Amino acid sequence: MSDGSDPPEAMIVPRSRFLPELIWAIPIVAALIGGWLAVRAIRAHGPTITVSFRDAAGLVAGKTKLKYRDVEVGEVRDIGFSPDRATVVITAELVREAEPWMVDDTRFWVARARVAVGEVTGLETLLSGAYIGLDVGSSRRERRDFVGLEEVPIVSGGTPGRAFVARGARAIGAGSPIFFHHLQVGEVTTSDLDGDGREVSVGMFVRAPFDRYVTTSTRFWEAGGIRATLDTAGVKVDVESLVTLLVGGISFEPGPAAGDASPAPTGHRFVLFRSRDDAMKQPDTESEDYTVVFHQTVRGLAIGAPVEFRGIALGEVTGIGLDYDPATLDFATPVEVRIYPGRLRARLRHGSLDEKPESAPARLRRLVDRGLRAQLRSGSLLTGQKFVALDFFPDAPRVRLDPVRHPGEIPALPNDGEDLQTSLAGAARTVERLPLNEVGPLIGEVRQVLAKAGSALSDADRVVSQFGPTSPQRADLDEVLQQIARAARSVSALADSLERHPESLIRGRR
Amino acid sequence: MKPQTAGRAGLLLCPACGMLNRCGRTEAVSRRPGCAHCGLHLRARKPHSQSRALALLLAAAILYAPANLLPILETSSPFGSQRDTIMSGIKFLWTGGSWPLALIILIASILIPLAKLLTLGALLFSVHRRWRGARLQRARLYRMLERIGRWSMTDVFVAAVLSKLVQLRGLARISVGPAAIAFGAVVVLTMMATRAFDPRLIWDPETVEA
Repeated sequence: MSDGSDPPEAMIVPRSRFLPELIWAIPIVAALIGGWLAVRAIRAHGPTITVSFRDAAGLVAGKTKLKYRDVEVGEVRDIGFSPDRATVVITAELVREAEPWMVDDTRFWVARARVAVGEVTGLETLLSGAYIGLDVGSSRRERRDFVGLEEVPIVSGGTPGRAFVARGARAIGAGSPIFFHHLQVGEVTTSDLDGDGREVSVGMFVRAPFDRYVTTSTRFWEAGGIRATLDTAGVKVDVESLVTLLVGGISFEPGPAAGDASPAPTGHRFVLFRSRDDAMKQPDTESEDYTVVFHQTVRGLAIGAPVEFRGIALGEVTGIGLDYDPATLDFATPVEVRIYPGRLRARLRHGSLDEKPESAPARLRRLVDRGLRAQLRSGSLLTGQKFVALDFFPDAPRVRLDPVRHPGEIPALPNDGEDLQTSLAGAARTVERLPLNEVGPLIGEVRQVLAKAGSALSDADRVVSQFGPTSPQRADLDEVLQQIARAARSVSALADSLERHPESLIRGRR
Repeated sequence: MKPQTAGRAGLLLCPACGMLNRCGRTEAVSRRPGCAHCGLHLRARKPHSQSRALALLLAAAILYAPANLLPILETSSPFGSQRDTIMSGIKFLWTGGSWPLALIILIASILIPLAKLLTLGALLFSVHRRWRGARLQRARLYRMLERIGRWSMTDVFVAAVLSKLVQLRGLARISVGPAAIAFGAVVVLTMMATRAFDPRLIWDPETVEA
């Protein structure tokens, strides 16, 4: 070069041929990592589903989670409307594990804080916002579009136990407790009107292990609120628990014939009775209808009032009517009663009711001939409730029964005397009317008469002891007889006066 | 007129001590290998510059996808848990009103890495095809590429700091997602690729032709 000293020569070292190729390991590793991440992302990517709700309160796209048993299994991606804008359609993406869960009967609901009587749930949603809960169904049919529940289901799937249905007259609020010996063993899940609108089907869930106590003969009854029964036995108040006092509930117990019962299958349909008494009644399989025609007031007799035979409840009043005979202008009140012979049979210790196979009318005729009569009696003085009593009155006047009348007639026997209330009221009215302060003069007169009668009797006594035809007492006797005659006149005058003014006995002479 | 360069003069400049060495023709002229002054291995060009830069660039490009698609931050608190990708974080900031911050993150985390990938790719392509035009611009582009390289690490830095700072046991938890690693790798790989690329190659075709 131009400036003096030449630069020193550097030694040339041949390059390694291997190392440069090693650099390509980096993109290969990167590709492997990237591929692995991609595969993981794709694998974690589960099914996308849609759920329709009535509204999307509290739901946020990209934020609201889907949770199964409080484990996050997905996220809401999008919130939109159905084509007719009737519902809100949630598009959600689930994790891969959830793929087989998306079956026909999988349920979705929006979990929000819920404060019900007896329990508080979903408090965490107050902070974190609502989430969509899901409950995996047991169906095998896959599904991707769901209709969400508007209510949080009471019992989540997978809870051991069995579901039953009880048909009753009244709805029980979902979530109401089910009791077994005052132990809460389940909940009411649904309450739906039957298709024909006549009864309510109450879905019940009884948790394991209590579900094995539910047999085909188990009786369910409403345990709601205060049950105050006002019947001929007086007032009865019964409360199952404080919760049922507010929201109602259902109790069950083995039925009267529980011995041969088998465990009830899932979905078994029971009857929901109104009360424990109703539930525990012998099932009245056979019944006979009769009519009792009363010619007196049936005030205090209600439909459902008992029909008793010597104090044993045999049946009930099913109808109260009114008959009018235009010819005689006579009103009668026919009372229809239903007798359950089974109840009598159940209590029978000796003999049998079925000894003689004969038709019901023939048997009724024989019984009436023996004196079977129906009477209206007061069951409770306090309430004035009445019931129909059946008994045998052999002295009762014989009656002719209408053999073709249906239902058969049991002749009525009036019992005014036994109508305690009526007679007491009458007595009270009489006493009230008694003018006790005006009876005085009348009593004085009666006293005079009695004194005269007394002296006359003592005279007669003397006469009887000293009587002789020629005795000197004959003159006395004459005098006695005259006195008796005077006394008799006095009595006769009193009798006349009383006959003319009978009220003077009470009101005194005016 | 051809510019005089060290290469054309048959000289090598030691980058460590600044000494000029002559390119040796035979092996046993000097006893010591490398720079006669300080012993540094002297190279006329960075070895395998193109293939190294390409390999690193390719690796960075591959990892750019998961870095942006996967969540970078996983936040969990009683108010719900959340997984944020870089883009969703930017969207959140933008809709939340702090658009200057969103803009900064957008530029630093998405645009700069992307720009680096593209420009380095373009430079490599141009060198490979021995383009002759716009050499000055390409040289400037490369210098800029080197300068902005480290800025992309802000995102990873923020994520790392947050995940260590916000650990309120039982209340809130922030953890770094898989994208953070990928993103860090992207930044490091692009920087390495930039380093591996020899800007002298931009000027080389002229020298070679000459």
